[in-house]
Amino acid sequence: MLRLIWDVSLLLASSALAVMMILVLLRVGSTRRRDRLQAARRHMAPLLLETAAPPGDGFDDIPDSVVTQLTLDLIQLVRGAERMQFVQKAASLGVPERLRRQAHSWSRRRRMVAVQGLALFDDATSRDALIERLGDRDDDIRLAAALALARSETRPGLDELIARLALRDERSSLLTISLFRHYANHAPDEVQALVLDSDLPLSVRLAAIEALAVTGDYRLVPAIVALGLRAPGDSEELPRYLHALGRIGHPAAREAVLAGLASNSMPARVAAAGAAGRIALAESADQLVDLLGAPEWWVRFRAAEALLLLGEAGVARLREIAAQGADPAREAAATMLAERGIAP
Amino acid sequence: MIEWPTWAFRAAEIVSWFVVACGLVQVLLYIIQLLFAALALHRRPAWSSTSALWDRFADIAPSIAVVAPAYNEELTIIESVEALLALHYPDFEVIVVNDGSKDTTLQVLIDHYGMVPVARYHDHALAHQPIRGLYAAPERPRLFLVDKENGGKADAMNAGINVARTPLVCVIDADTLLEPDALMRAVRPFIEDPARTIAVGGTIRIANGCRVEGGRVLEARLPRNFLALVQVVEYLRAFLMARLGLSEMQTLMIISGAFGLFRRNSAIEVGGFSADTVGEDMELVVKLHRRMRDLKRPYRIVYIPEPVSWTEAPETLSILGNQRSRWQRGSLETYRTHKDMFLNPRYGRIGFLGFGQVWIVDVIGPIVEVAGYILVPPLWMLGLVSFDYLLAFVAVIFTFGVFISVATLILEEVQLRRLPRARDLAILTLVAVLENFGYRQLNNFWRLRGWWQFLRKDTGWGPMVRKGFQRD
Repeated sequence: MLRLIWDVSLLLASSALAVMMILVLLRVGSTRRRDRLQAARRHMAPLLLETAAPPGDGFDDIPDSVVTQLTLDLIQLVRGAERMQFVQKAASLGVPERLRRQAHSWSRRRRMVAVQGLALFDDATSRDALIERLGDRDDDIRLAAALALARSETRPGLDELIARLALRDERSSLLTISLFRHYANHAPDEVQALVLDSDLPLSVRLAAIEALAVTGDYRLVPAIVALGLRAPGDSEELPRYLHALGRIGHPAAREAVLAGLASNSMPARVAAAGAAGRIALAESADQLVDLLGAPEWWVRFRAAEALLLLGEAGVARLREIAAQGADPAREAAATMLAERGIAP
Repeated sequence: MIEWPTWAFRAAEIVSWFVVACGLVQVLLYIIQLLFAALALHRRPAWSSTSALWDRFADIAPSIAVVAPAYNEELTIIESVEALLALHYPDFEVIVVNDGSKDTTLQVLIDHYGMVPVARYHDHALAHQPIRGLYAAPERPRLFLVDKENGGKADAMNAGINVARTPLVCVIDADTLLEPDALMRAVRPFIEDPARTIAVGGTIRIANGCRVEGGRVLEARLPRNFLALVQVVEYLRAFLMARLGLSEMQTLMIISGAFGLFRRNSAIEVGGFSADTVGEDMELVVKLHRRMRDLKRPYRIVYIPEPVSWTEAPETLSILGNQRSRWQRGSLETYRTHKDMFLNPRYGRIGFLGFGQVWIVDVIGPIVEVAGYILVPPLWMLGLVSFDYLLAFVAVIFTFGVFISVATLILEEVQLRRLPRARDLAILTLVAVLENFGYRQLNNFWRLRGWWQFLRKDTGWGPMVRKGFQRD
């Protein structure tokens, strides 16, 4: 046994050293190759930059990988007409075709680069390649393809996207919200349908609500109010409903916001206070004043902020508390007034 | 020739076996960490460019307050703050906490940025020394300055967390150099799994020898100082193998105070950084584990290798020795405070794997290894144990040590390729072998000294004299 420990350790250490030596030698080779590629890149960059027209035959001796990477880098550096010029140059150099081939690489990293590159070309074949990548075995690549497609004019249906991205689990990501936001801007009805689809996981529906809230689409306010009123006080979703109502800023949220201000849940009261301020819900002033004495700082802070947003009436209440109230409400009122440069 | 009684042979064999077995368990833990680290690196997200990250995260990235405690940093504070203000992140503020500096750190900041006293309603949830003043810079709205009485790094970070109004706080050392995209990369777990992620740690690399300008590492180079070189290998092993492996097993026990991103509410719930320990960064992470497991809440504490920060490593034996003794003391203090979690089924894998690793590596590790140096060779020379025991001891200390270090370098080269030149790889391979002969033993001596300081209840940090980054 003792001898075996020695033998195994010797075998492992010598194998590791041998592998490392091979890696060092490989690195010498790859460094030389990298230097050649960088030289080619330095040669190509001014040629691409100096002419507005698509390039001619001067790039035959430049490796494809350099042409692809450099054109993609340049496209991402600029906007507007200049960007369109670079996109055309890249297309004339065969970059989209190479990216479509690269999208089938065994390497995840190369496939991801291909998807991110294809997103820059708004042609039918590139879009088809992106749609194909919605079935990639890697979650991130599927999501990257979905985000790219969501930004294009011919995006797939949201239902199809949800199915292909396997978003039907309970884990939620802010990237899902980001994806839905693109749809909310162009196809709000599809996102609204998600909110009302009770078969979908709550995480997906919440992401849809938050995406729609950013657009300020108030058609959903009654539905969110109903969901908010039904949500358990200590649930994770209640603050998110209230936050969305605040983002939309429609007075029809009144009932849910007032109920939220009285919630036992700290995050719900914080979100409700934020919403009350954004909606300028004057009738919430008494509750907001009560919340200035809450044990949690975030609640006091958001309540004071909301009172400031109520205008002169809210400021008057803050002045009153700053002058006559007890801590911690007094401190909250006095400091928030001072912070905003308002005389106490 | 001495005639030893039978029990002496038996006792010598038991002692030698115990030393070898402890070493083997450590080696086994490291190999498991290596395997999990390799798995994590293989599974890490495919996207890597900063522009791709920005494109994807910019409109959803939660706001972050970067808390930078500063104590007597008058010479470097402007450069550090400028680098922080230039970070690539959509929504962040920099909160510099002047921790009662005795030099002109405060005045330098006020004068340079035209800062003015302001009122700011802030939390008092975390205890810290009194705040003397709050300052804002009208022309640099992202910058905020807290001037407080001296209370140490943990105290200053607590003040910064109290003043922050963002969902996430990033704590750094005043001399930490963050890569411009470090926040953008570190925030990924908070975006992908916002409900469960409560803390994220990033990689810290050694800046000695690098070309630094304007608070940025412009060119990564290896240090020329041997001690700093050894620390390059150590940091690679600590981050790329240990932290990444433990993170993949969901048993990460430390996020370095030099660069960590925390959910503010979670940090406040556990009372922030403890000012009564020199291992406040490890202690905070253990408190987070305890709290979340006590409440039976699902959570994630994650290390990701991509966000990089740079720090200056000690280049003299005395300063390095102080640092290592302090780290050892910090681990022991954390272990003592939370020892009820060790092997406690209530804390699941944290109690068994996390604390098991702390116990084997940090608590008994240095004692057993030094005992091995003192006992095993003499026992063999006295004829009490066979040559095989000596070979096994040499295996667990030296040859397995070489394997673990070189295997980490292989992982780095195959997956990350952050070392710029083939020559650097060759040098680090050589260092990975050499460190096992001399430096490792010295390190164990420093750790034993940390044990002694722990037993004596020493509380000081010891001197940390910085040479300064090599600037153009």
